Amino acid sequence: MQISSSDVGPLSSSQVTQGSYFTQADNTAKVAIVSSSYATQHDVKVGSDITVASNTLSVIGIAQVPSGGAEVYLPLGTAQSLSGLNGDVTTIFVSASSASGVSSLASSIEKAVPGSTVATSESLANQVSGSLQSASSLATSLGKWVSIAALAVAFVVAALLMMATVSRRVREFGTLKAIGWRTRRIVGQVIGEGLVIGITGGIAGIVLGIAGAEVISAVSPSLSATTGAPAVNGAFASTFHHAADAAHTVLVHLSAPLEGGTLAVAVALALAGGLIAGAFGAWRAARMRPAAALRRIA
Amino acid sequence: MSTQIPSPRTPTTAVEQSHGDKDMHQMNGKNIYELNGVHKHFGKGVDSVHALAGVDLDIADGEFLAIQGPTGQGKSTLLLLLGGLDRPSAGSIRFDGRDLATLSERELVELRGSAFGFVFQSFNLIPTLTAKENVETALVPARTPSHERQQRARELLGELGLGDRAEHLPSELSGGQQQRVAIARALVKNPKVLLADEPTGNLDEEMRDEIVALLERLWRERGLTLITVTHDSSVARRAQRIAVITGGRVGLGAPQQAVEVSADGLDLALVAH
Repeated sequence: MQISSSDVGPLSSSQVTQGSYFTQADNTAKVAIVSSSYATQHDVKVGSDITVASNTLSVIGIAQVPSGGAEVYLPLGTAQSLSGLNGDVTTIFVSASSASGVSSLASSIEKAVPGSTVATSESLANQVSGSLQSASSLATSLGKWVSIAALAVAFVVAALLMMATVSRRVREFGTLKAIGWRTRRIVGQVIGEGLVIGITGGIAGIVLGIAGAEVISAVSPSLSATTGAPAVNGAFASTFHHAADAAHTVLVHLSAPLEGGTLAVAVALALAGGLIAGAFGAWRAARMRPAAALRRIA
Repeated sequence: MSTQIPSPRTPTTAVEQSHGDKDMHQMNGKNIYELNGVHKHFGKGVDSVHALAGVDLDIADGEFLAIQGPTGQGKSTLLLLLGGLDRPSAGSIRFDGRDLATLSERELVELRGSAFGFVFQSFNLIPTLTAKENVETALVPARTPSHERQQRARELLGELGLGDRAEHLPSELSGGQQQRVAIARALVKNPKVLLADEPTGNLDEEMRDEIVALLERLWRERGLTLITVTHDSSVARRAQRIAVITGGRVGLGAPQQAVEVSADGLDLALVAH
């Protein structure tokens, strides 16, 4: 990093919490500033030596660097010398005197330095917010499809259970027909039973669902995600925003919102599944000649 | 007392001759059933099973008839036909002058709900209903009001010695008690005919005697026509007449000729029609 402009670049003088920032004299000196996390991990203090590319460097400062930032910062001349890339730079930080001039300045740089990629704080912000929107949209879509899948499962399970129950009752239907029950009455009986069971199950399901949602809300587990300053070649930052400021920590609290509509649809679908399957199964069973129904279980 | 079987048909066997000393007080000479050339087969083509092959049989009003025969010879099939639970493949089954083979489904349903009472070997009680509720199910088709259904079910269960078991589920009752509930269910609508398919088949000897005695008492007291399929000679001997089915045809005999019938053969020397 270039020392001349301590307010622009990946590390500003204000971020140094221990020791000191680089001075002009340090441009080719074997000194370094390390991040506080690096210092903690490697037990490095101001005045300690670290080894970079087989060269021993003296640590002159420790800085608070946002997550995603570099761990070791060297003066530009030292870095070029150690890497064998004298005269080369990979990233130039430029500050504009006014926010309104950022766009035109970016265009000018792109024209002046062909092949460069120019990123403004605005484009960085757009990248971040775009990612957050995508994540939000993904979460919403996922929730919607999980709800639809749950509803479909409720419908199918209710239908299968009812079909299984009805098929086990062929003997009962045969007996009822033997004592004079009409098919219509048997189907009606099964539908009536299905309604009672469905409503009871629906109420139990709602109570359990509300209880579960309350537990999740009480525990309220959270997930956090941090978006750091992206490393881009030919980065450009305005005066008003350090690149590091583009780092955001997003905290997402997990919750289970209760939607009356979804609950109603779930209960209705489970009821419908049970009733349709039950009525169809009962109708098929009750349409059998009673002798056939009785023989099947004999 | 020796009495000629009140069948309008000419006796066709040497054994179709007598009811022994059976009380014939109920039989009024009128036939409640008249079966002519009844066939019943299941399936089609080479896999077809001919369960009944031209059965001719008259059953008198108020008669106690036992149907015997080896397993798989059509006893239960005949009983189901007599109860309007199935239709013959050919022939006629006249019940009270109406041919069950040609009645509409609606008319058959009405007859099943009023004229026929069924008792099954495995009781066929609805496991989730109490004894009283099981009996009540037989009064539902007639749209009997709920309070009357309950009263009649309770009275009949009391008459059959189950007054204190009315609110019990079938699983809480012994086999004999369950069969008594099933008998109550069959009789609560005051049917003309009681059809029983191996009513003692799932009972031990003591229970069997109890159920047979009960059926006989009810037959006498209520003027029923009682038709029972049975393997058990001690049950068959109580009947006025025995119809033996072999090879899909019926032979008639006196109760003294009832024998234990096994699946692999029949010792009763009857000549089929």
